[in-house]
Amino acid sequence: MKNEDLLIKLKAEWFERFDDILANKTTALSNLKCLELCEARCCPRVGMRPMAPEKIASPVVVLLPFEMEYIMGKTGVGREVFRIWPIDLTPSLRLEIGTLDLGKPCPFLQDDRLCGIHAHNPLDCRTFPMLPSLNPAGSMEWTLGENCPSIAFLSPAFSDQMKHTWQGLEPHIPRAWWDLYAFADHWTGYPEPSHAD
Amino acid sequence: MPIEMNGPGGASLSIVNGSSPELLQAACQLFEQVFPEDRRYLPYLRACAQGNHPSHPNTYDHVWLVGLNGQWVGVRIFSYITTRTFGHGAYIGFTPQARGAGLGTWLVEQTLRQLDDDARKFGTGKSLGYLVEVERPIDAETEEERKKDERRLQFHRQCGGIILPVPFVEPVMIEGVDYISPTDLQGESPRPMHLVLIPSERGNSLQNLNLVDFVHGLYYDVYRLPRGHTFVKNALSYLLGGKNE
Repeated sequence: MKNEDLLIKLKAEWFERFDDILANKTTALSNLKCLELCEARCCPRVGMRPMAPEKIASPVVVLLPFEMEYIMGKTGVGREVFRIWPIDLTPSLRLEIGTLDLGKPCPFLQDDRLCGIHAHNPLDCRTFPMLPSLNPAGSMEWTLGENCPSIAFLSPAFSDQMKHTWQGLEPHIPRAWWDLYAFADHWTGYPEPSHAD
Repeated sequence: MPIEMNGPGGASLSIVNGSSPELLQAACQLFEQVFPEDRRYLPYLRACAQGNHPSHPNTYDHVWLVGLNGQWVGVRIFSYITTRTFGHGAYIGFTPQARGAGLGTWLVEQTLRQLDDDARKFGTGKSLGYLVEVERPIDAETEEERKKDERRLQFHRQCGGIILPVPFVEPVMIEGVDYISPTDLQGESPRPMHLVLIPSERGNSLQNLNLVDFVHGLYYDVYRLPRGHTFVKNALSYLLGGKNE
């Protein structure tokens, strides 16, 4: 299969997965008290920059393959609002993964701290404060974002459903994406990188 | 912390330098055995054993041997980049019978300790760790090669390695060295690689890794590429976009 055709096929498959996830109306509520306790501490934004590290819940959102394109289609935003990182599937096939960080703050966070695209926001946002990772043996593991002030309220039913969702996606996620997700633990995007020596 | 000269299972570390021709010979022999495809880079090993070879003006180089049961089983070549706060791990390798015994992890720990010493020596504080270039399994031409590449990458992941999302191409050789001529390297070509940071404790605690510093340090200070080289531009293209030099 030609690279272009493969990309079209992969994109269609991922779009279908996102549609399925968002169409699931039985998802349990997380019970998180995001507005009351957190003031959107996990949404990368300009005001987060001067925060002490212990106040920041998560300064980076990493989108799944083709999730950037999916959100662009749903919201009409352009690629320029995302920071894009490459992951190579083959020597000649590259995926571009969208992220949001403190250098590319979330364009969807409203002044009232509500999410402007809550109906189809990124799975990484939906999943937080649960953080998936792939251990060296290749199995999924879960940790919790300790700086989430609302973590004590996290609903077990919601956790189970999120784990189930990710387990369904895991066979389709390239290993390189997990490497990018791990890198995001060491990246905030701010201060902006300098191009000078 | 001081370097542990004694490792798991009775292994021991020996420092190879210009004053120990026998050790240098042993290092060369082991290098040829462990990295047969890279035997043309033996002059690089010899240069690194000098510590501060004139062709490497921005690095302080180290060559180590690991002995076990009276035999040399491991070789390590790495450098501290004196103009930055991190190092470059050029080679780490063991004979097949010495693999899987925890020697690699121990050697990585000792490397990080040495780099901390070097950072103090050169007045740059504590080291952030070191960069390694690792073959990408997706470039392998055979299944055997792919498995070998996957094993190497997995080793670095297990050592806490952070795979940096920059499209990195490994130059064939450091520019302008006086110990290898271009004809010696005929047939070699630059290869796409993963650029991996093996972080020290300090490096691991950083919230915002400076990818530009890493890319510039490796390309300009280690490989001595000219400013604005295509490899540098490509590596930083996603990060800097139009601001790239």
